[in-house]
Amino acid sequence: MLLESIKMALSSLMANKMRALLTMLGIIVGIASVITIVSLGEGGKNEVLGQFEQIGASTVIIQVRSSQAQAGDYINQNDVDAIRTRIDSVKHVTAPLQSIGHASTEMGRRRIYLSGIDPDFNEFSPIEIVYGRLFTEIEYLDAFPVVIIDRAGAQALFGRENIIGERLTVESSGRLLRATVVGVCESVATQFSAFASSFGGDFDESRGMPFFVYSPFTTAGTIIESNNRFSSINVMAVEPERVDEAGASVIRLLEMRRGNSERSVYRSQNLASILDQINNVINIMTWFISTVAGISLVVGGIGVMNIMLVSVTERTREIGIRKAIGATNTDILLQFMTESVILTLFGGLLGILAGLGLAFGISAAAESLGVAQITPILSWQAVVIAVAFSTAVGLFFGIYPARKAAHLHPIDALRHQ
Amino acid sequence: MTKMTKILFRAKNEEKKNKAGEENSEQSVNPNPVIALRDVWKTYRTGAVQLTALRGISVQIFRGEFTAIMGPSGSGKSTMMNILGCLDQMDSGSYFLNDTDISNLSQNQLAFIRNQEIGFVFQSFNLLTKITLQENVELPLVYAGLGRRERAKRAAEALEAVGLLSWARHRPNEVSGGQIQRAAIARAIVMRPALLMADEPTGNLDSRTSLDIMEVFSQLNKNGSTIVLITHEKDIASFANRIVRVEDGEIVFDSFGRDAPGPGKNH
Repeated sequence: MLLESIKMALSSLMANKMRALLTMLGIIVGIASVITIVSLGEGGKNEVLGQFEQIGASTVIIQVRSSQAQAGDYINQNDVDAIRTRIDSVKHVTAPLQSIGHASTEMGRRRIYLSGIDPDFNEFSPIEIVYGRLFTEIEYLDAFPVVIIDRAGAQALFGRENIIGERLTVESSGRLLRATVVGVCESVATQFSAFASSFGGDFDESRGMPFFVYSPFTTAGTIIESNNRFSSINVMAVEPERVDEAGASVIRLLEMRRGNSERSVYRSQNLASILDQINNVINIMTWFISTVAGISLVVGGIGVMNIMLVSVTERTREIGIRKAIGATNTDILLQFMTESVILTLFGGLLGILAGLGLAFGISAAAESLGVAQITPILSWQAVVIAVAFSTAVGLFFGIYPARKAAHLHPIDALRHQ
Repeated sequence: MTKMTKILFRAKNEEKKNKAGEENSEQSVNPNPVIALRDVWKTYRTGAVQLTALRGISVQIFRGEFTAIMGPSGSGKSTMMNILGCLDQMDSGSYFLNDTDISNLSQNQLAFIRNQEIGFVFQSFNLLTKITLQENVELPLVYAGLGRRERAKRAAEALEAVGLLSWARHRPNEVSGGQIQRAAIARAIVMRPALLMADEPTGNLDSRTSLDIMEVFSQLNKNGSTIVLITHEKDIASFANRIVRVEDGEIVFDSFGRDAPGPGKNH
């Protein structure tokens, strides 16, 4: 009987295609918006997770809260050395100097992102050398004028990639440095930008992605105006389980050295806590959109109920005929319930497709605008919930019209014109 | 109605049909009436207005009879047809249809009786317009829970009986009024009901087609169908072999056992 009901419902819906589609619209919009936000959220989470995997689960970022900090609170190279030598749970620590500057050759002058790195930097964010090599110990110690530049930068400044031994001029805050290229590395734009912004990096993405130039921190220190002050450093714990302990120890040490523990100037962030924050934001967004979508589903459901009531009135005579030839109240109830559930279920399925399409559209637009790189992910849980919800809407809002149809008196129904 | 009761009903029905088959072959007559109405009253109330449509109707109709119920409009013949057809319930009195007491059945049980025991032919045809004639004829079989193959077979038989087999795949709007009414008759007989009810079946047809349709009924009656025909036209009623006349909710004339020919005379 259910199979027959489905057949009848389909043929009756097919007879009014446009009406069925318009009725489904509320459900389509509701489901589509939830699917869009959930799949973008999942995709975004995944992307961020991927980026942070570069930093690793053992890494903790120690930041100076600028709102609380006084001039003497910033972290200096002595602190970094103390952390490296005096805390057992710390394996590596790095405090890169970072600055926006320019590099020039005969071919032109380009904006660069200049990082003064220490030997530990490579442990946090490996520089993938394509030509040449990393810096040597003596280059770090004696502040050799050497740089590593990324592929894209080499291409832009020299017109080729293998430029080992070539010279260029690096400038930052008006100071110049004539340097020799000792290495060319892979361009790692996205993961670096995540890394950089986790350091509190401040380069302006709207002016286009700059090229990346690295030099020993000692060398960079001669042109980057830092006054030996870091607002953020990266610490790697000896193992992921001890990442919280490492963060706490570093903060305790810094507060002891400064005697500023009562102002809580420093804070530590690790992968888990950053992920927590991101999850929080995504969850709030998801709940907000879901609430709006819930309203849309209710409105859509009322639309379904409305059109089903119209349908019951239009088909009163048909109901009478069916009852005269032996349809029970249950048969009629089932027929109309099936119809409303098919309406909302089909609307839900269309909504999933539309939502997925919209998510991919948004992600493509975001990528072409250079805002973000997110591949939407549709989890099976989201599909199941969407299907269950649209079915529930059909059942709930279908009951009243179907009961009305089922309880029509056969004689009155047959007399209806 | 539960599945169990359905099965019980069906079993009982089969048994009856088998019995009927034996009796036909022996040319004997079932002593029990198909319809037994006793002192049936029905009053309609709309607001302050009360209208007593049936005032103590008693009648018995036997297997194989072709009965015409006649009467002017407002006489109560439509009410009688609704009660006989199990579409409506009476206020008091009793009604046995094929030995089943109808008086106290629920809505769903009445639906089952309509499906199994009664075939309707209406003045305004009442076919579903969006499906083919064959699908219309199959509809009672759908509600009886029959499988697709069995439905197709029995629908074809019924359409054949009314001479419409070649039109089976057409929709009602593609055929003539007479053909639509033939399809409606096919739908009414497809469940092999105990009783065929026709309510002014020729009211929407021209006189030529009306005669055709009445010929179909006559033929079905000759083949053993029990038919109750509601009409106000004498020439249509003349196809029946028993006339019951209703006025003001009472039976004022019944040709049963009098001049009319046919099986009714034997009682």
